[in-house]
Amino acid sequence: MFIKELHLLNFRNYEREELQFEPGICVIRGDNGQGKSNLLEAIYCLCFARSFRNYKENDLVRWDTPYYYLRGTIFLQQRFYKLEVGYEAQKKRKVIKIDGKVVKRAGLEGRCPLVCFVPEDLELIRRGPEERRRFLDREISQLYPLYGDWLSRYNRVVYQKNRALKENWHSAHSGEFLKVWNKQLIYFGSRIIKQRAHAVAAWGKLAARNYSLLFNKGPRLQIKYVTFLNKDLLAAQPEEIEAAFKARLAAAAAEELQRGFSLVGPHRDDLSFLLDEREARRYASHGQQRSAVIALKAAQLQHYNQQKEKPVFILDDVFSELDAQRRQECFNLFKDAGQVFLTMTKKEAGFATFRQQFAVPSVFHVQRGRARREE
Amino acid sequence: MLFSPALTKLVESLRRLPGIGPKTALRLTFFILSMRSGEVEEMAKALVEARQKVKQCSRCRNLTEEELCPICQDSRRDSALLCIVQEPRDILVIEKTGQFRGLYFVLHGALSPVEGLGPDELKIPLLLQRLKEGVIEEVIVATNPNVEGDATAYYLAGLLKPLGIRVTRIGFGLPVGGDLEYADELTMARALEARREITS
Repeated sequence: MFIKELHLLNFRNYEREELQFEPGICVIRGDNGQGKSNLLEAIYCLCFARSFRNYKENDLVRWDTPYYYLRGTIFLQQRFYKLEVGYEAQKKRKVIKIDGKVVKRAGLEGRCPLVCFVPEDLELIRRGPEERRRFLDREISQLYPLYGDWLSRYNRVVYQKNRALKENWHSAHSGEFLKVWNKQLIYFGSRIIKQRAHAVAAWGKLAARNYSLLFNKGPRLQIKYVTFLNKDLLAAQPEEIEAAFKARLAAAAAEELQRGFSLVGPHRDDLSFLLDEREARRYASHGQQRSAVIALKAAQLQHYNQQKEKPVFILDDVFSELDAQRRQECFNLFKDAGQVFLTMTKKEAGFATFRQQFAVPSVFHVQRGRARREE
Repeated sequence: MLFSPALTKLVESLRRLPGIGPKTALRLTFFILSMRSGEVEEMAKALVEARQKVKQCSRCRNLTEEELCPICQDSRRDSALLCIVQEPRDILVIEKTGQFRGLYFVLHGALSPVEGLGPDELKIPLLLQRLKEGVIEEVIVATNPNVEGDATAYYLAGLLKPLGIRVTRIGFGLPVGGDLEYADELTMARALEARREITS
């Protein structure tokens, strides 16, 4: 896949901009606050109709304007697609079109191979389980078209169930009342668990190999999906997962009632990184932790390649955070991508060596919401 | 203040209506001010009259001006069949098909702890009372296909099945006449789950 054209209208700090890209590496340079990341945001938003930095829709609209509009052409599965995303702030109305036809939701979810790398990802191992779940959910909803739907319904059920538990609706309305939420918790939750287990297994295998290539004789990396079910999730049938989930809910029912919130389900899962069987969060150096994340990012790229489509790789301001070794590890990932967008500040010392190493085909210079191609 | 207090007050009242933002409220206000005063009085009277006269049917909670709504009064309808809907407007949609000859019960919402809507707020005790009369054999739950609508359906099934009443849920799936190609994934997944054997 690659992005060929991008038109921005009233998006973040861009009033109006039209850009052409080629496959390969594209560097976006500029000082802080000029709009480098916003350009990456526009590419992501064009493909998935949402922000990768968790911005609200209204924050994507340029200050004092009523709407944003993005249009672009991407090359995917041997053909060009014309994508459009528009959002009207006042009506809170979003329109997504593929080849001129209105589609219901983020049209390319599940079909668009794109991997993001943001500075927060580097601290993935150090941060809380909540961030790791957010990482999982963001990446997996890109992989599977139904995942995002399941997740939003699942979260809605948890929200409703928690309120019911907190206000003790159970005792007022007989034992049936929690059952109606648990039933849906099991339905959506089991599907989420299954999908997460599959994705983490696929990435984990590739990441382990990548890590051992980085450090031969170094520790062995394992990435594991930690959930409340002690089951071989990959081999289990959906009905088996549902039955195990149901049993765990039944066992925890009394405690849930007593504590007043939902205790069992994938909303409490985690992702665990192990180096030689020891928790990387506690025992690994900062550098090792970051290398493990880079190995995971490489795995995501390779996973798309296994599905016969070279992904687009977006790196937002990652290099300034990294030492020379980690930076080189990142550069090595580029061969697995069909197109790479990366931002660098003008002061970035690595740019000259980077340019020598890669013969970078296109460089854009960003200043106050305008992007100019550097010759 | 840019405009007169009376005008501002009208804008503010219109803004309370669903789907009306400040701009639309202002546009409607200017339109109302351009109408003949007789027309405006008629409109105001219609608002007050509707509010005073329209109430809930004592059997099904549909909107009506009488004790019983026209559907509940209609003796030709099948009183063994009851369809449960969330809103009165859902009755209109089902009636338009001309395919349903039973009676209705309107919940005016769905179970939602976060909005404070429980079985009592949906007047489920009233529904139970009616079912205990023993005439109804089948209940069709036609609540919305979302988390709250499904929860309501499960709740009703748990409550009514022990009474020996058949509880069914309306089918969900592909829009008739459409192409499979244009179905979104969730609808398609649900349609697959709710597949039916073809009888010859």
